[in-house]
Amino acid sequence: MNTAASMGPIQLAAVTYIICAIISIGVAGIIKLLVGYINMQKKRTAAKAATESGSPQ
Amino acid sequence: MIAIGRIVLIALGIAFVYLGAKGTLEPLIMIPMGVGMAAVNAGVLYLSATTMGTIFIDPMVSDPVKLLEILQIDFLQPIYTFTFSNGLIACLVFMGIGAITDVGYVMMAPFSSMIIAIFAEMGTIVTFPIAVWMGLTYKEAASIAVVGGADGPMVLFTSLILAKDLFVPITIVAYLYLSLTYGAYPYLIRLMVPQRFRGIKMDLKGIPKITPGEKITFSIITCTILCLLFPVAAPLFMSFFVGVIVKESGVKPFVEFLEKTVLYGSTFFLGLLLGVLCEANTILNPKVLLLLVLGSLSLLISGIGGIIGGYVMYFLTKGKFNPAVGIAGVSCVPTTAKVAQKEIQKVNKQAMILPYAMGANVSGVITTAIIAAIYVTLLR
Repeated sequence: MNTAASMGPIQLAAVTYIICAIISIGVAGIIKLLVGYINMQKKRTAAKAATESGSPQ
Repeated sequence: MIAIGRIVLIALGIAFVYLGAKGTLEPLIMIPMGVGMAAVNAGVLYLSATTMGTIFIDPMVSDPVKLLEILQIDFLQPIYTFTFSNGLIACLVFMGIGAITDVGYVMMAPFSSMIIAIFAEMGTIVTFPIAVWMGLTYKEAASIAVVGGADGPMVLFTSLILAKDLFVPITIVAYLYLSLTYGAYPYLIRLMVPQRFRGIKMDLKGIPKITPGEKITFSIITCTILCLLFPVAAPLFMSFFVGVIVKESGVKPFVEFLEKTVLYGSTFFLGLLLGVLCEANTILNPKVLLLLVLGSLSLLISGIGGIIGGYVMYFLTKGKFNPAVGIAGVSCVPTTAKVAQKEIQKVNKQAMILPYAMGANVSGVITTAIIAAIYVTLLR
C-alpha cells in the first residue's frame, strides 16, 4: 500500500497498534454482548417456564 | 566459507536433536528440524559437472518446467511446493491449535484477557521501527517483529508473504526462541513482579460457565468479522476458528483428526522442512545475526509488555488481579500460561490463576493474528 510506504516506521507501528487495540476491544465487546444476550434469553425462557408451570390448565 | 558453514550447521542440527530429546528445547519441532539440518548439509553431491547441491528441496526454483522436473526428483519438493511455500502448512498447524484451544477462557473475562494481550503485543510493535533503523526494509522488519507475538504459524505466514527471501532464517529464529521462552520468562516474572504481588490469589467463584453453543456462536461471529476486516489473513482466521468450532461441536472423529493427525503431522513436516531449508547456501545470509538479535528483543519486549498489562489490570481491579498473569498474554499456548501458574504457585500454593492465564493466552493468539493481518494488509 502506498500510504504505508509514505509513513515513517514509528507512525506505521503506532497506527498498527491503535487499529489492533480497537479491534481487540471490539472483539471483547462482542463477547460481552453475546454472553449477556444468551443469559437474557435463558432468564426469559426460565421465567416463561415458571409462569406456565404455575398457571392452572 | 560454505564448507565451514555446513560443518557448523551439521553440529547445530545434532545439538538441536540432543536438546530436543532432552526436553530443553521443544522436541516436536527441534527433533525433525535437527535431523533435517544435519542431513541436508551432509548430503551434498554433484548435480552436474559444475554444480553442487542436494536432492532434498530446491526452494529457489520458479520456472514451471524446471519445477515439474524437480518435483519428481527432490523427495521433499512436493511437500514444500504444495504446503509450505503457499502457507498451507501454517494453516494446518493453526487448525490443530484451534482444536486444542478452549475459547471459553477468553469469554469468561474478555476485557481483562484482551487488555493483557494488547500490552503483550508491545514487542511486535516496538521492534518494527528498531528493525527499520538497523537497515531492514519495512516488509522484513514487520516479518521479524511478528516473532514477538510468539506464534510460529503466524511468523511463517507473515514472512512468506512479506519477506520470502528471509522466511527461512526468520522462522528458524522464531521457533528456536519459542522453545527457549519456557526457560527465560520465569526470570522476567521474578524480576518485574515482587513476591507480595506474585502471591495474589484470584477469585475463581465468579467465573461464568460457558456452554459449547456459546463458544461456537462467538467463534463463527468473530471469524466472519475478522475475515471481513482482513481478507488477506482470512485463511489463518478460518483455520483457527474451524478447529475451535469442530472441538466445541463434539464431532469426535473430526476432533481426533485435527488434534492428532493434522496438528502433529503438520508440526512434524514443518520442523523437517525448516531443517532441510537450513542448507548452508540458503541460511548463510549476512542478515541472520541481525534477525537473531531482533527476534530475542521482540520476545523480551512482549514479555515486559505483558507484565505491564498485568499491572494495569491490578490497578483497574484495585489489587485483585495478579500481575504475573500478564506474561500469559504472550501467546505461546499453553507454555506461558503454565509458566505464570508455576511461578505464582512457588510463592502461594493456593493461588490458582490458570483460567485467567489461559484467557490471556488465547487472546494473545487473536491479537497476534490481528497485528500480522494489519502488517500484511498495509505492506503487501
